[in-house]
Amino acid sequence: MEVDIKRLERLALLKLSDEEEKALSKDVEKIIGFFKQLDGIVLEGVEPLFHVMEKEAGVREDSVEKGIEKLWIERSAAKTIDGYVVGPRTITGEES
Amino acid sequence: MSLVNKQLRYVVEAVRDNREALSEYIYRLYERIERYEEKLKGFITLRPADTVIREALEANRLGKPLAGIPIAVKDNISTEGIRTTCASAILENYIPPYDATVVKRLREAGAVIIGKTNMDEFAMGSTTETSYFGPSRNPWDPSRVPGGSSGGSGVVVSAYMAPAALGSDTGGSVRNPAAYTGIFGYKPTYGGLSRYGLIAYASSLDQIGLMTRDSVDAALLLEYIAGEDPRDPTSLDLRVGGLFKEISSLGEGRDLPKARLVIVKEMWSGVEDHVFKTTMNAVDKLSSEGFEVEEVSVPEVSYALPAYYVIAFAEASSNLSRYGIPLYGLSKDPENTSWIDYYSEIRSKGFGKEVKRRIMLGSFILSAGYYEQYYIKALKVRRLLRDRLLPLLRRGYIASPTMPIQPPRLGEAIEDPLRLYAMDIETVIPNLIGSPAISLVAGFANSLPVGLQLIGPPLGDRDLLLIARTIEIIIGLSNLSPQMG
Repeated sequence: MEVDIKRLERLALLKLSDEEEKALSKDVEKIIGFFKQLDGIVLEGVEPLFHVMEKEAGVREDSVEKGIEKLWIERSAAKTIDGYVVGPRTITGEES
Repeated sequence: MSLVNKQLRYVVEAVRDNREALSEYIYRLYERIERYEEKLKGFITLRPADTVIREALEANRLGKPLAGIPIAVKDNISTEGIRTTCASAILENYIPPYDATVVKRLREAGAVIIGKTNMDEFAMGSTTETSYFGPSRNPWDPSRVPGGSSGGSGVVVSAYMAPAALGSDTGGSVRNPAAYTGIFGYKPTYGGLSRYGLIAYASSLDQIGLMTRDSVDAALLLEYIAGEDPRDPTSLDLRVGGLFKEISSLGEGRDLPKARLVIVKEMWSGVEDHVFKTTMNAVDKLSSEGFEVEEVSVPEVSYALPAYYVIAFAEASSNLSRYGIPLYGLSKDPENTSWIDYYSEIRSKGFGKEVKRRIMLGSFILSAGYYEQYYIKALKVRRLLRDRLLPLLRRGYIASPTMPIQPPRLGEAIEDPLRLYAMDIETVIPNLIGSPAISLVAGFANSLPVGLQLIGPPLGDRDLLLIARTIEIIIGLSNLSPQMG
């Protein structure tokens, strides 16, 4: 099968060097070949099990609790303005 | 004999009313660390001895139950004020603003964090070789890996650099290094220990676990850290109150509890010859001591490994999408960069090869056109496996070798991803079905410890640990000391 490695890079938000691309393409093909073993088992009528705990997640009490200090955020963020974290532009006109 | 070679529970007793003995004990640990750490690389971050001693003496003075005992913590478990890297360049300088629940509970009980242990990057690996900080080495033979991904935790417990450690186990990452370094490894039932503060790899499989010198020490620590946590809605009550007392008294005149061992044939095929023999000898010994042994065939087990990896990669690609944000970890001035370039550059620089491989495959699995073919199919295999195995676990404990091969030499397994993944063939099964599992020493082959894995039913942790203790007493191979130069 043909894996479109550039597409996977985009999906995983990675930018690989040519060398990395070559090595990873080979690995990815090999590993997908291994996943194809799953074709050998009959699964008719079996429901997928997303999580072993099939219980409803409860909701916590809606009460005020000590959260992360604003100071920590200001200290660890790459850049802040007036206490707000600066992020990269989401709209640049480029096709994504 | 120095306290350093003793199990944690004896150290706690010895130092409880003797603060001088506590400082002396911690000094001795640091002496060991000074002597062996350079070679073995168990820690990513080691806290200064005087800080640890100061905190320990304070916990001791306050009369806390664990009396100031130092514990090592895997570096993907958040520790407030102590760097937590996940063995990745992307979190190299990350200092968490809060403690994971298990860490908080340990501290409240009077334990002190001695340091953060080495691991495979984001727990993705089975040898500790994918660590950004370089590989750990096996104290039994430093040319070999200590297993992974909690390899550093295995190293420091095995080499007497800490009496116990926390690890995490997504597909065997506690049991694998426990087997390879000759210690006790315990992965609780899914949800048995809060995951709050555990940096996520594959959330439906991730579980924090304990690595100790034997099952009794694990039971002692478990009582302090188990219990539901409002911050983790998947957390459960393991009902382990009084377990330590009960497990400690086993072997003292009373008859040992016996159980049925279930041998799933497919879990014993493809196992290296001397691993097979050593583990089967242990099973035979248990059988001669009154354990029942039943052999069954479960062909679906052969599909566990690909199903596990599909699910783990899919969840990983989603969990790791958070890295690169300009709030923590590796980042740069976000001005004048497009969103895609910004994230792609940081992530490409910050993630190692194995992590890139896994998140790309995860993205592939979850992408349109392949979701049904791989992801949904793997989840169906997971249900089928659970439906087949749970009835067996109501009858007895599934016993198998923990690892199908002995620890590879450094560099031997890491270059071939499929060979690396195949190492997890035994250990992924409990994670897929949410079961608790342990690894203990079954015997030796080629002068290296060989692990026996025991899987119990979900929420059967208490009885699983009691049976593990019985087996330790019968086999007689716990609290082992590797010969180190």
